Amino acid sequence: MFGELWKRQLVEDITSSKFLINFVIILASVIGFSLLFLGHFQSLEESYSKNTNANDQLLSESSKELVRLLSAPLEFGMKPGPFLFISDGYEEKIPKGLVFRPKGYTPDIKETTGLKKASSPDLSVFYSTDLTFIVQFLLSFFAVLLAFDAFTSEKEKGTLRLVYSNPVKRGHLVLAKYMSALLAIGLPLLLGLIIGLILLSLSSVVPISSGFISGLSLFFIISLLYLSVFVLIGLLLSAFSHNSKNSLVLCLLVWIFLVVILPKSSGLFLNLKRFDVPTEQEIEERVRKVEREVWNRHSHEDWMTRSGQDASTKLNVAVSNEEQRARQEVYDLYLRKKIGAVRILQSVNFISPSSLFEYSASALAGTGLFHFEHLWKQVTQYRRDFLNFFMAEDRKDDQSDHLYFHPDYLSRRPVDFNRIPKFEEKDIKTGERLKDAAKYLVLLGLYNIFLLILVFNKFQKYDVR
Amino acid sequence: MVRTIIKRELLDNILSFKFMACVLVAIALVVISTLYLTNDYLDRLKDYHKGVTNAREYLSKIPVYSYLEVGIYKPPSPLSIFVSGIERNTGNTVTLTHREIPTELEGGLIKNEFSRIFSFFDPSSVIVVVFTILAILLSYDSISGEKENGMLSLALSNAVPRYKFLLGKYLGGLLSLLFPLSFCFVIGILMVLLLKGVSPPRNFFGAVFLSYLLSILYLSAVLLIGIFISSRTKTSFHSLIFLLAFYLITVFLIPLSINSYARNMELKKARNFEMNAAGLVRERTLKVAAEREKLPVRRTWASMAGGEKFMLKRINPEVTIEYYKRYHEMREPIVVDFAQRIFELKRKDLQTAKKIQKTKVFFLAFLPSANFEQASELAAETGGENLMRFIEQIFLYWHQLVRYLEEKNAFSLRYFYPYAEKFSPEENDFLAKFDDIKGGQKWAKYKDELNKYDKKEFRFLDLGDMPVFKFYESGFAARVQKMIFNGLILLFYNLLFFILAYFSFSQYDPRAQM
Repeated sequence: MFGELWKRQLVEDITSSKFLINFVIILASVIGFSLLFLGHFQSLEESYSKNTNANDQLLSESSKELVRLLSAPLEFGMKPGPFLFISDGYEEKIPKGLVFRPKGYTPDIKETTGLKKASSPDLSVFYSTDLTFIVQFLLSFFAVLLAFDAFTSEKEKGTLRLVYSNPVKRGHLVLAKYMSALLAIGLPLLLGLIIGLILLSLSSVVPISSGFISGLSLFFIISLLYLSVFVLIGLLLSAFSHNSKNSLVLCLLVWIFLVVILPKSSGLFLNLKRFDVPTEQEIEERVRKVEREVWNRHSHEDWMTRSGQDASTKLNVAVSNEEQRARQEVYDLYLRKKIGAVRILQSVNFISPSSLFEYSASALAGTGLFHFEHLWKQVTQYRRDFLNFFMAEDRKDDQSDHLYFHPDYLSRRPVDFNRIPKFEEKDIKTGERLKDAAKYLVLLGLYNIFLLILVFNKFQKYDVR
Repeated sequence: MVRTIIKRELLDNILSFKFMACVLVAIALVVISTLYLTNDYLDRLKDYHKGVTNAREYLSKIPVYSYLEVGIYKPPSPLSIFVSGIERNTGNTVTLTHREIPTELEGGLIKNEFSRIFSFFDPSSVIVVVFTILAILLSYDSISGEKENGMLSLALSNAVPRYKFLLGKYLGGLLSLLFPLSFCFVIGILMVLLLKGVSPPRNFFGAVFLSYLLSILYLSAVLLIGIFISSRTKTSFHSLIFLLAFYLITVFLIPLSINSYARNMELKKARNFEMNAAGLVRERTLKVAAEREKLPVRRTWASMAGGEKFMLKRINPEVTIEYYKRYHEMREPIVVDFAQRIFELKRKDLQTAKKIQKTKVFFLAFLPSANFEQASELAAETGGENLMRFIEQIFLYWHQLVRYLEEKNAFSLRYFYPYAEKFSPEENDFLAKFDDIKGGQKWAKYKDELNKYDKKEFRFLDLGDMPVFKFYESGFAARVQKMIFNGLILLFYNLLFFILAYFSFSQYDPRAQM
């Protein structure tokens, strides 16, 4: 009996005009977005490789004297990848990467500070052209449209009573409606994803790896999880109301509220004192204050630089390093604070399944804030490697005083450019992506279960007349 | 007769569940967003006043011309409460020197660069998102719904001409939209009027009126499209699905795609500066170095300066002072010249970007919702167009500033030396002590004594006659002129769909087919 119900419902769903419109819109937007992405990706790739070349050139120029490696200002941008097509994560709106900032003569070469300004994106645009938008916006809308009249229209037509005159369990009917709606919404999505993948792989611009394909399939699964929420909301509201019109109005408003309004509302809390972070100048001031504090602590000592072997010179170098560490701590602290504030604000949006989906897609794709955090981690590791390499090279030179990292007392020999460690951003592993996304997925799952129980419960008491 | 239909329609609409629900949501959103944006506006206003005061204070204590930095602040517009535009995100200040002509604003209230991923509602987007849905819900069954419950044949049998029926439906719908719309505008205006210490600017009411007019035009266009579609479809359900798809496509999908495409084009084409700026900067360095070789005097010891801000200590050998005087007389005109050449590069990019933006706006104007958004941004002057104008005015002001500096002979001794040119005999004696000193090491020995002379005869610049920057906002007529194209298109849509609806309705079969 359940099979019959399900089949009937599916045929009805798929032959309806809303399914057709949905199908056309989804395919058109996937194709349009793929073409847009191909154009955009090319320029992203170009500027990224230009940046890498600039870094290499700087390193090769500095390799003439080992000590000059310490003052090469390297800039590490976020590497563009095909994952941006899945979720853009508003990567253009956040800082583009990290900088090793040199500061003239003082031995403060190792800090990762100075966020590059975000390229000036069109700030008036709320969303990005990626698959996430298609699912988050268009498909959720159609999910609601497919489900809003599930019970009311059957009641209006009188078929609901007819169905019940047969020995059908109510739960089965709900399940049939739910499954068929999910299938009717999942099919166009699957087809869209495949077409998108084919379009991307046809052009030679975007490198398609097996990781991308598995990412895409994971994306499909979380999309279903998300869309199921909206199908359930449609069913629930349909079970709450007694005619299709009211149910539709309710559905539309709930959709607008959950998808359009709520995800954009946590910005309202941005002005709270709690989320206040200092401006760039204020951070610089604090850094200078910390520097002064360190030197003041040693003000009674003699730290004049004389020659490489003097105790006073050694002290000078030690204090400099202490100062450098303190400064780096300040920069790190504020960077962490800024990201932390955004994360807390995002958690306000957890009420909206739409935001949950957006974040989980972004985590899965490893873009946006997640991308930045991973880059930060990798750059920190690279800094360690770089300095280790530097010290190892320096030890080979017996003319050097080996006082790290004072530029006057280090090796001035040339160094082989090819042996200098170069930074290359590694792709985030699938396990880590899933770990990042887990929190949001669990919440989405809870939403589903909660709604499912509500729908079953409500429908058990539904008046079929 | 029309009046009866309007009255019935109005009552029908206002008492319906959909109307109440949408209006409640819309009003709640407008209240929340105006509250937030008003606060935000006040914060920005405070920021602006603070900045202006600081800049003025800074100008009153400038020892030498190399320290001259004119802080220019862009006043926030109270209209950003209605149409927030890009004003909140772009920063509000530039620091102007003769060395560079800026093309980007800095500062502003966005301290956390990561927070840019949050965006939210202003009243104009509430109109686009919620009121559009309301207009669709009010009109989707205006014809087909009447048919379905049999009212249509009843009404038409009462000798009501069809155009009157149509007009009644349309006006009834429009009037029922006008109530909540006007209410939202009144809330916004009251918010601004009740603000403490803020007087609405000259063009405020004009611009609000324009926005109001635009909203009406826009919503009426949506309403007419709804009526037209309703008169083309057999059942109101079909008409609704069609209209909702139309809503998704025109409000979200197409504007997003066009914007995204325009941004890609900008990234690709507007790269003149990025490609050539480094070359120009190098050229400048080389030119300055070459010219320096030609100077008749050489630099000696004691350059206690670094960077662009440059001030020499009081006690210096005459030859050092002479050297720097000649050096800056040579260098600064070159710097000014190159600032213009670098700006020319940026300007080409800006012009490319402007062209792309214009094309974008042109295409978006054909979508009712995007048209409305663009037009209200133009009327409120909170969008990119306003920003461009600000930057152009800064460019003009930069020329005034450089001319002023040249008139004042600023790129000479006073560029770096805030004291009288000649030494006193006492100072000459003191200087004699230094004759055998090389390098900075022994500087520490005479530091206190040297500082004593620095305190004497230190003079600040008198900048009373320096030109002052003032940002000119457009008047009412200019605003109307800017948005006239968009307004006309909206008007055209109104007419078009009214005529279409009329023709379609005149052939409509009022009999219910069950």
